[in-house]
Amino acid sequence: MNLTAKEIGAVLKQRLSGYESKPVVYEYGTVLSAGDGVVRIEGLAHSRYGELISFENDVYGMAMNLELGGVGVVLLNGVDDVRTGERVRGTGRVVEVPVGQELLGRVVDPIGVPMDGKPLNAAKFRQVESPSPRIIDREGVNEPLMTGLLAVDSIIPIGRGQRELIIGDRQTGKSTIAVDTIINQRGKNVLCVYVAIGQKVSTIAQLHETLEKAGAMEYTVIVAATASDCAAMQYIAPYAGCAIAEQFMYDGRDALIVYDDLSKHAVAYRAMSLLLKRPPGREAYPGDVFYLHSRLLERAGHLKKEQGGGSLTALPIVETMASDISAYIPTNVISITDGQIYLEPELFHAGVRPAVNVGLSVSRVGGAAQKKAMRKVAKKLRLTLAQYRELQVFAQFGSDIDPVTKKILDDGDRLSETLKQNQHEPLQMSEQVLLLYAVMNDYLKDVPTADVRAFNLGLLQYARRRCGDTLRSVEDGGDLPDELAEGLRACIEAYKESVKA
Amino acid sequence: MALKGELYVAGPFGEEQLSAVKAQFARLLGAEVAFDVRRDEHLIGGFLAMVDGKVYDASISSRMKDVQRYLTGSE
Repeated sequence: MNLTAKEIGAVLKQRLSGYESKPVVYEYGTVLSAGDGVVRIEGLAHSRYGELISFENDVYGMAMNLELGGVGVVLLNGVDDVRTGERVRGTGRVVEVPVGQELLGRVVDPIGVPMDGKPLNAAKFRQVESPSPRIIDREGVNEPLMTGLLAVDSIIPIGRGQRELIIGDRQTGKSTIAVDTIINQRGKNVLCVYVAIGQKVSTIAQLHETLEKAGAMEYTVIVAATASDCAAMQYIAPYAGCAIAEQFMYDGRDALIVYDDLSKHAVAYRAMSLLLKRPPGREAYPGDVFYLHSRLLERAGHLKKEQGGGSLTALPIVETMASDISAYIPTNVISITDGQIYLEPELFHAGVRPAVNVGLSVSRVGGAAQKKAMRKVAKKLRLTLAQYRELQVFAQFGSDIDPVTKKILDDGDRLSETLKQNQHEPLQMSEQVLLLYAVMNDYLKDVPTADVRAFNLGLLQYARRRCGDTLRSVEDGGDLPDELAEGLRACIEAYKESVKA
Repeated sequence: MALKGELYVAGPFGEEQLSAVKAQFARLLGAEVAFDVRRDEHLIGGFLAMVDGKVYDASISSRMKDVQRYLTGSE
C-alpha cells in the first residue's frame, strides 16, 4: 500500500479528531535506597496503600509502607534497574489486572502480561485487591462442584462457592486433585483459574500441556508467578488470579480457582515483610499472615440470584512438612476454609491413590452440596470406612477373626479398592453412583480384592456401552428413584453374567 | 507562604515568560513560587515544573508521548 504524505496526514488528522490534550499533573518522589527488590522513596506524600508506582525504564512497584515523608515500595519487575536519586511517579491507581473472557486459554503473569507470546486485548480491568461479597449478597452453598474423583465426591463433597483446602506432604498428589477437578469441569459450565505460586517454569509448562491435551484450556486461565519471579510478584499472584475469577462470578458464571500453593505464598510474603522491616512473629512470619490468607479466601462464595447467582469455589493447596498439620500456616488455612482434603504419604506409597485420609478429611458443607443420587449411595460410606480402619489395626495381629469382623474387613478392602482412581481420568456423577451402588450392595462379594479394580473398570465400560440411558437419567435427574436403581442393578447383574460366560 | 520549585525549559526562557508561568502558579496554588530555572533539551518545548511534591508537565515531549499512546491505543 502506497500512501502519499498528504494521505497519511489526512488519516492522522481523522484519527486525532477525538483527541483531547489533558494537563499532566502527578506526584513525584525520589529513590533514597534500593536493594533486594525493596525501594525507599522520599516524597509521594499522597500515595495510597497498594498504589502502582512507576519508575524509569518501565519498571513498576507497589506502595506497601506509607510513612511520614516517604514510602516503602516493592518492585514488581526490573529489580536491578532502579538507581538512587531516580525520579518516580505515582500513578494514582492501585494494581490492576485485565479480566474477562479474553483471558480464557491464556497464561499470564500476576500483572496480566501474557506469557505465551500472543497479544491480549482485554476490555476490562479489575483491582487486584477488592473487598469480599457482603453477607446480604451471599447465598448458601447448595450445588455440587464435582471433582470427578470418587473418593472426594462421595465422602468429602465440595459445593460451588465453597473453600476446600487440599493439604499434604510433597509428592502426595495435591496438585493432581486440583488439576483433575479442572479437567472434570469440561462441559459443566465452570470457568477455572489456576494460580501457580513459586513453581518451576517447567512444571507450569507441563501443566499447560496436560490441560491442553484434556481440552481444558479453553475454559481455564493460568496465572503464573514462577520461582524466579520476585517476592512481590508471588505475593500478588493469588489476588490477581482471584480478581480474574471474581469477574466471572460477578458476571453470573460459576468459577473455580486453585491456589497452588499458599505455603509458598506465605514464604514470599515473609521475605517481603522482613525486607520492609516489619517485625517478625512466629516462624518469622509477619503478624498479618492470617489476614493475608483470610482476606483472599473470603472472596470466594455463592451470590444470590439478584446478584447474578454466580459462584467462586476456591481450592487452596498447602504443603506440610513431615505430615505436620499443626504447623503455623496449615492451622491458619484449615481454620479459614470450609474443610480439608488431607493426603497422606503412607497411603500414597501403599498405592492408595488419590491418597485421601478419610478420617482427617472433612467438608463442612457436606451433604447439602450433593445430588440426591450420590447422597443415597454414599450414606454409609464414611461409617463403613471408619469401622474398617479401626478393625484393620487389630486384624494385623492375625489369628482367628469372627465372621462379622471378617465381613467388615473384606467389605472395607473392596471399598478401598473401588475408591482408587487413575490420575486425569475423572468419573461422571452417574458412573460414581454406579460403582458405589455395586460395592455398597454387596455385588462385589464374590470378586477377589485384587480383581476389584479390573471388575470396576469392566463394569464402567459395559455400562457406558449398554446402560447409557440409565446413566444419563441419573446424571440429568440427579436422583436415584427405585426404577433407576433397578436399572443399575440389572446392569450390574448383566455385566456379572457376561464376565462369567 | 513562598514555595520553592524547579522549572525545566527546553530553550531560551525570558523574564516575561517566567513571570507568566509564576502568575499561573500563584493563581493555582495561592502562593508565590520561587523557581530555579534549568535547561532540559529533552522536553523539546514547553515546560515542566516541580512544585510541592507534584510535577506539572506541560512539555511537548510528554504531549507527543500522549498522542502516540492515543494513536496506538495502548494505555
